[in-house]
Amino acid sequence: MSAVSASAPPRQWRDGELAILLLLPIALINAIGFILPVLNLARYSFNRSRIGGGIETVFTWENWAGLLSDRFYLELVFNSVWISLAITLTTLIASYPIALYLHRASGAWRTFLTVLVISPLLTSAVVRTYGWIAILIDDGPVVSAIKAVGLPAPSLMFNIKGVFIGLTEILMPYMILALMAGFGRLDPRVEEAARTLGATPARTFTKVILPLTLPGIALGCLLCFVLAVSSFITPKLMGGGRVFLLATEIYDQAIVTLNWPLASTLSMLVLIVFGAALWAYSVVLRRLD
Amino acid sequence: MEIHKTSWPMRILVFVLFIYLLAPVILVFPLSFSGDQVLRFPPTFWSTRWYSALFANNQMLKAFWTSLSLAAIVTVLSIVIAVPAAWVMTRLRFAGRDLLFNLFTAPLLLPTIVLGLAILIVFASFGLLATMQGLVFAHLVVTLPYALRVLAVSLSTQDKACEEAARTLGAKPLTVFFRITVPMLVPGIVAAAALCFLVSFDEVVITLFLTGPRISTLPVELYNYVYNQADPLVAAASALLILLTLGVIMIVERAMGLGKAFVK
Amino acid sequence: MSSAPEEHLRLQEIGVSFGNVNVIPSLDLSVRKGEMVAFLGPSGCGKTTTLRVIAGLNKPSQGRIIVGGRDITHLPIHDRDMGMVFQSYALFPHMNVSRNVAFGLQMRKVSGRDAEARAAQALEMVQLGHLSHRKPKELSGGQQQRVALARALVIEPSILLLDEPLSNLDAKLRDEMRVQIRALQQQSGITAVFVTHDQVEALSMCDRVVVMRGGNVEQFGTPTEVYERPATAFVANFVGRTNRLKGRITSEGVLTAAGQQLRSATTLAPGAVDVLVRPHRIRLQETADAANEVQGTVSSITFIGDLVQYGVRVDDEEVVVEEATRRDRRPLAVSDKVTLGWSAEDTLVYPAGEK
Repeated sequence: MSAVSASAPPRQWRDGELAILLLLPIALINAIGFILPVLNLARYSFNRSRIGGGIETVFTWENWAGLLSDRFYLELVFNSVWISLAITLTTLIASYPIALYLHRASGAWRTFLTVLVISPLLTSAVVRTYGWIAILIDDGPVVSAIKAVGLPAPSLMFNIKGVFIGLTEILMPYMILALMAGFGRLDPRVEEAARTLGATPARTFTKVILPLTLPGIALGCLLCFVLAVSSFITPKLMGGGRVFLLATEIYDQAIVTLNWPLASTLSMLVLIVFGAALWAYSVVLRRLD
Repeated sequence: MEIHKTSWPMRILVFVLFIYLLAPVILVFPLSFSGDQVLRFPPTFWSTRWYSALFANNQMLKAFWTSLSLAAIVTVLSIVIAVPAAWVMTRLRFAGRDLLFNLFTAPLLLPTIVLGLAILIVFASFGLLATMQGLVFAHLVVTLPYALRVLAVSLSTQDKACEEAARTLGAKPLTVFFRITVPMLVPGIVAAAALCFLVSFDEVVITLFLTGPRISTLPVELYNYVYNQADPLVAAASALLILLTLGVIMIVERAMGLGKAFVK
Repeated sequence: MSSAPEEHLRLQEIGVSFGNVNVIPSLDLSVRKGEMVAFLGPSGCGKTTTLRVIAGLNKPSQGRIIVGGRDITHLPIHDRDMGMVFQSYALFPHMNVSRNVAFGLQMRKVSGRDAEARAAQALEMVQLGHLSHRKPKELSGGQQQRVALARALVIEPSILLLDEPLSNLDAKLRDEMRVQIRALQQQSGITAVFVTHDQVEALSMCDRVVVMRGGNVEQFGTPTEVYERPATAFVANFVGRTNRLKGRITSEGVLTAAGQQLRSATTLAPGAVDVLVRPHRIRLQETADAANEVQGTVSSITFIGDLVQYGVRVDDEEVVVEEATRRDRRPLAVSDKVTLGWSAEDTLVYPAGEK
């Protein structure tokens, strides 16, 4: 064999070095725009607010103790959770038929309807809330229609009813998409099998369809609950200053009262509610398996 | 299949629910041509006066241009930053990769009201409040996770053999990236860009914390407007916004199909 | 190895590990200039990994790769000058056929007009000149395969690497492509390595075959050698079909199986052995010149057109015999007594228990 010319391994980028270089921008934005602010927020919940907007950097449980002993805030948390749960339930009820129908549809019709479901998601929450104000306002089409039938005119705006109606609609696309993702398990042949075995449509639904779609329901409910608790635009615009929820209170404390420590503590409370929701979700999922 | 014929009551129910779902979006179109001074539906007479009023409203116009340039800058930066990051996440093997991916997409999980407050407090000490740089930075925090996700999915479904083929044919790594990987990624880039644009253009909660009299975006101006008075001016703006959104959606649909872009 | 033709590719103690898994312990191989060598083996045997190591797509943990006397072990992929055809073809979807083929030339800084002309020529060579402006997705599988081949050959690489190139084609097209690939390889006189799990492809197309298992070379030889004189029981089983009888060699060196003494061309140490005989090498009834003669009872008959397959019960063991369909003899029936005969050369003996 002829003499083999040897070559030393040349200096090359190692994967780790390349990764660090290319991930640097996103890592910086993540660190400065996400990690640092959130940690700082947690720290702020232990600071003291001075009258007039000043902030004293101390370590005190005052904000937490204050929150937990103030009837107003306890009710605020309780109301937020309760209303969010109720909205989640109505969203589920309003979304389930659409999701089931979409799951069974096929071809271009299905694509078209899916685009219809997604399109509100891409429309600003301000725009959609404004649309609801136009619909539910005192002289609006809904109230006029109810009056025309001879019923007493309800007041749907600037109270919790309007927030309820609007938020349900705003959350529906999320719920529908989550349900459809979960419906992947629903094989039409299972339903047929149930029907051929003599089950009535109602029994097929409660005994076959519902159990199989529970994971999708759980996911959709988690998503909508979380979004409802942190929703801000709709309660603010449709509540007319009379609906107090966690998110609106955080904004008011931060921007109007300039009590950042209290706003931070309320934010931490929202995150705790989130944690609880996630925990409940994981428990439900484990039960389902 | 006989059993699968959806019954009429079910069809009517689905139809009614679709009306409910789409009502507020559809309603703004007729409302925007209202001739009335106040919000009333159906309008007593039709006109284009609110469109005229909108285009005469300097504050709205200024906010619109701010939003447009903000969304454009944020979109370009998101793509430029997220493409290499997505490439690293899908092509390199290193310890802690999944952890990093979860960390980079985590801002999506945080409620915007909490994130907005958190950023407000930090930006206040950096002097970034009510500045374009501050808005760009804050929007990047929310758009990058979307871009990273969409691009990572696109990249991981790409046939890696194409990159290998280019290497064996004599292309250096950087050449492969720009002549093979990126061109093949175009549909994913279009989808990610559209998503980033819409998210940035529509973002209102975080932006509310960071804007002021000096600089404001269209959604924030609309929010303030609706908060103070509700007349058909906002309907005219909303109608135009919806048309803009539709335009962006059509671009995505052309590039890769809407379903693929949003079902992760 | 023989000394006459010049050695072109040499793998020296190549080892490959993925994480903690040692896929290839240590592999030595030498390929001559202008020959086509098949890497044949079941999936997971390391054949594709070895091919990728040659291309530079996988890094060996040890050993050296030498091409034309030059050590290329640490050469980056793009400097190796290999033409590779991938299983998925890996055509660039955003370029038309002609640009796909010209890509490698561009990377070699061939001027635009030259590159175009050579790409056109390469496409003519695979009879696709008329489709040069199509996008890959507008081509059939067979056409895509030929574009991939043209793209790999146009750069006149030092070695052509083919990774299961025919496995995505239907049977008829595969036969055509086999002939075409072999013809192109011989015309250009290029050294080629062909990875496959299909023994027909390996035996019919290649000058020599490397049979691999578990990252090791079981046998390296011409198709005839591999088929007629399999080095191990695994090779005998993997290449072609075979009967396996339990046997033993006594301390006197006498081979017994199926209840009687047999003669074999191979000699082995005393102990338990496996005796392998190919079904079509066994003759029925006409055993005048056979070195080995065994009695049995027909237990099953399967008619496969030009072949008849008999199952014959011989002393507790089932032996499969294949015979061309014939008219000159009364067809056998189930439970007929038959005599089986085969030569000593066709009696392959291996230590027992080898898989």
